[in-house]
Amino acid sequence: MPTPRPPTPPPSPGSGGSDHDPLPFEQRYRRALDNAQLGRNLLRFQRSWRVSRDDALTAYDANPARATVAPASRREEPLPPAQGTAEFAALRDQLAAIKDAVIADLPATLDRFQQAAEARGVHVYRAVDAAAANRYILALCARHDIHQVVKSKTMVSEEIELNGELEAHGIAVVETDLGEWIQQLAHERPSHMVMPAIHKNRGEVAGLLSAAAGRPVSQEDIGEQVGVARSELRRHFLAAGLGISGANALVAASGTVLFIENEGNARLVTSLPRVHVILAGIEKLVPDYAAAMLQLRLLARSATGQGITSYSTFLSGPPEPGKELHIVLLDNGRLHMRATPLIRDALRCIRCAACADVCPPYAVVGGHVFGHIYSGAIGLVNTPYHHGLAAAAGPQSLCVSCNACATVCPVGIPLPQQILAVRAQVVEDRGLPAPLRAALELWAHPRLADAALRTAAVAATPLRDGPFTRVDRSGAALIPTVQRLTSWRTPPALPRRPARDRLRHRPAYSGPALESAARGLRVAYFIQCITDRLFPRMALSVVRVLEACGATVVVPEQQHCCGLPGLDAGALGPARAMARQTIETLEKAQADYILTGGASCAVAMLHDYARLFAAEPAWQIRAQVLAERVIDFTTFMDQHARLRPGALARPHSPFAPVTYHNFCQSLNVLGLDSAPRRLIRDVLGLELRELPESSVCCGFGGSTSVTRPEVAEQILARKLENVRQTGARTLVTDNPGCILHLRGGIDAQRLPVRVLHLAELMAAQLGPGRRQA
Amino acid sequence: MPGPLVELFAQYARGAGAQVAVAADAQAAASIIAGGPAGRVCCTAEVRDRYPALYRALTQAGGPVAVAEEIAAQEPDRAALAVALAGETGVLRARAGVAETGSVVLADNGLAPRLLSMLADVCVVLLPATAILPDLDAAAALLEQLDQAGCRYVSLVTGPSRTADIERVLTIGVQGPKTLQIIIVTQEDR
Repeated sequence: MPTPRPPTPPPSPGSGGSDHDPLPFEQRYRRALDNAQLGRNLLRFQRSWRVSRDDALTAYDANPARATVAPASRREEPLPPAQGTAEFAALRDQLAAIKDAVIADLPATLDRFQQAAEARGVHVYRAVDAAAANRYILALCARHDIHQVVKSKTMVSEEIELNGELEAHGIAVVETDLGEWIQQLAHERPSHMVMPAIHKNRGEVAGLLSAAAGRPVSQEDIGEQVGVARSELRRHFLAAGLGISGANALVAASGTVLFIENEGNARLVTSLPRVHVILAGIEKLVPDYAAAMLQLRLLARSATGQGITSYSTFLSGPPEPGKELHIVLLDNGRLHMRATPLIRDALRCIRCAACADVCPPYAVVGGHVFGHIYSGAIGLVNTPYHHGLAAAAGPQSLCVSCNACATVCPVGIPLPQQILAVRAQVVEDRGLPAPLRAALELWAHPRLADAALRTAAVAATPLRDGPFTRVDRSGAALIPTVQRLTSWRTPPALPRRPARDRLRHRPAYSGPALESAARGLRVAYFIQCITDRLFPRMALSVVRVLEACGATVVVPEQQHCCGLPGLDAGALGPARAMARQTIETLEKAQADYILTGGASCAVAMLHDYARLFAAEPAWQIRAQVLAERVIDFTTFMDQHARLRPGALARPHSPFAPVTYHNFCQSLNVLGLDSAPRRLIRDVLGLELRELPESSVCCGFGGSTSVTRPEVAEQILARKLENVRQTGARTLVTDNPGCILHLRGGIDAQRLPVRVLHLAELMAAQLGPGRRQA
Repeated sequence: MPGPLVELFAQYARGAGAQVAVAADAQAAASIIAGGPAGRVCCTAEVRDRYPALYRALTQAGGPVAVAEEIAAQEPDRAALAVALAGETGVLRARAGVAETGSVVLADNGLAPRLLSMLADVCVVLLPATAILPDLDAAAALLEQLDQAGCRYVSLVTGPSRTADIERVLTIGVQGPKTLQIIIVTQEDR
């Protein structure tokens, strides 16, 4: 993996603004968890955003006036599968290609913008970092004797912590965007790039507005609350000597700045004061008006679920005589991002915050925790470059690698891979927590791991209760760390015989033979470590279903772990060791396909290995050759086994009704959505009840559920609430990690729901006594 | 009869919360404006000059109609100008409309007409039916022309001022106009 090298932490830009100095990460994390209202506010927000955004995309497809988008030229590496309409994907691909071209040609494009703007009478200043940008604005204030400033939304001003600097120099600043103003009154940073105060409910807002207005403001009536802002803010507009605003796009051809808004405050900020400063990151460049319009189409729909915002303003120089317009173009680490492979793509960002709006951990802790100043997935990626690696260390630990962010990103940024790269950098810099490091070191040695697990299985026998380990039967349950990990998710039992032993000695297949296109295929089975050690029945089911389809199954000896646990924890050394061992073991297999029931392992082998070995071409090629044969169970059954409808139907199935949980990466990386449903409904003939939010992560999240169990617990609670609503008897998915997590949670909550891998359900439906189909 | 582009424009503008009417002549436009909230009407010099019949009809309907640029000539102080323009009803002329989004294109370099469009409680925009463009791509081409012609401050205005910053609940009229009344004018005075 090309390890990004973030710069050394920049010096803290401001001495002032102590109001906004954040607490250390762990304190912010704890405080967010203690605030039960926060999670409710955020979850409600995310749910309503999702509906609006999806509706806005559908409405665009139905718009008779819309232009037909020409498909963008093919990319070397395709963008992730998009969730939304085909038109959304087409617009996204087109804008991504345009932004890529600008980023490639950034210095010349910047020059072009600057020349055009200067020709129209703008003062353009290129600020290398936050301190330079702040100095420029302070000097401007001093020159014009300005003591009052009004601002409209600009994330760049947050990035450079401008308000604190101004206040430290005796200059009063008022935020005029309602959400920003609420945050200013609360002495907080925006918790969301588009909706700064979305983590607060109306009751909390009422308290802040009452204090600001010096009179009671309705706790319930949002209209009245908004009215307070209208009346209170007008006088600040009139008194200010300087307006500071942001930019959504910089049109290079004409030196034009595009800014969009709904309230109308930005138009006032940019019109009323005689002096006006626009703050813009240099990544905001687009070549021309047509590209700006393309961005508008994507930005409004992705940010607020609107077809367009109320006001989209194109400012090309001072409009009236006497007006003074400055544009500060900020680098502050962006050129460093540009020079860093993989991270460079993050410069496409148009700050819509869709990545936060679908992020399950974000819904639990909010943007003050899931991010530094920039929040959401993009915040985990750009923080190291704008604010130093240390500022990203805590927030990145919350990512569950569900990939949801990548599916809604309107410029197709590979956010999940970038976050893992940041995580790897954090681990390289500060090391892993000792227990995790020890576990991974052990795990990276197949023989030691095997011996340790077999010993542990024997030792844990007294605690075994069917498929679970009852830690409450031992004193361990009293240890806080153990409690933190197990009280809400019953750990699985550790069987004495792993799947590999049972597969080695399995009897020849004797069940019914199914009519299948897989007949005669030779399949090498990669068991997957969780399946092997914790769920041997799952492995037997996979093999049984394959054999019923007439495939010959071989189980390569010496197989261990694909390396995903290391990759996921940011420990690339152990990850590479395990990946090499896996490649060596599997490439020798004489088989048409290398199949695994662990969809996450398939994703690792198909997508992550190439990056993991970016600096080792020989291994990269071996990984690519291997990937040609790697397939997950669901895809194989859908595409290659091709069982007839009803082939595995049986009357009065004890499993119906069934509901299906989309394992994040199956859906978001492999694009598996209709395939498993087809199998359940058509091939198995079972009643399938749609799971609300079925594509939202269950909270397992690999290492996150160990390092941040509170987040995993709350995401799981959201999932199980949805499961409960379906009334389904069986919950099906296709990833062992999810199954471990869901089974443990369902046991802890004592829900009457069985959790099965799709292969287990198919094997169970196969039944022992069926005739030849 | 309004054409399909006008229909489409009206549909999307209404969808964004604007009020849309079609006026065959100045009298019809004036009565739509006069039918709005009672109070002072202020228009731009462009409206006065391009639509003299409308200007006369408005004056007859509701008394003297202020002209933003005339107020500005009396009031060099920016803040004082803003206070003076924060009246009830502002009338402006759009350069174009965009059917795809239901937006009107306002392009005024002058501070007074801009502030009028921002600070009026009711913003009335006269839109020539012939100036309705199909989509944002056509708008991009127009913006290029406007830039060449020296227009420095061009806004696509779509519906009234709004916010959803509190609990994502839509509230109309947070900073700018609470009402956007678009009058599609099928016949220009001159």
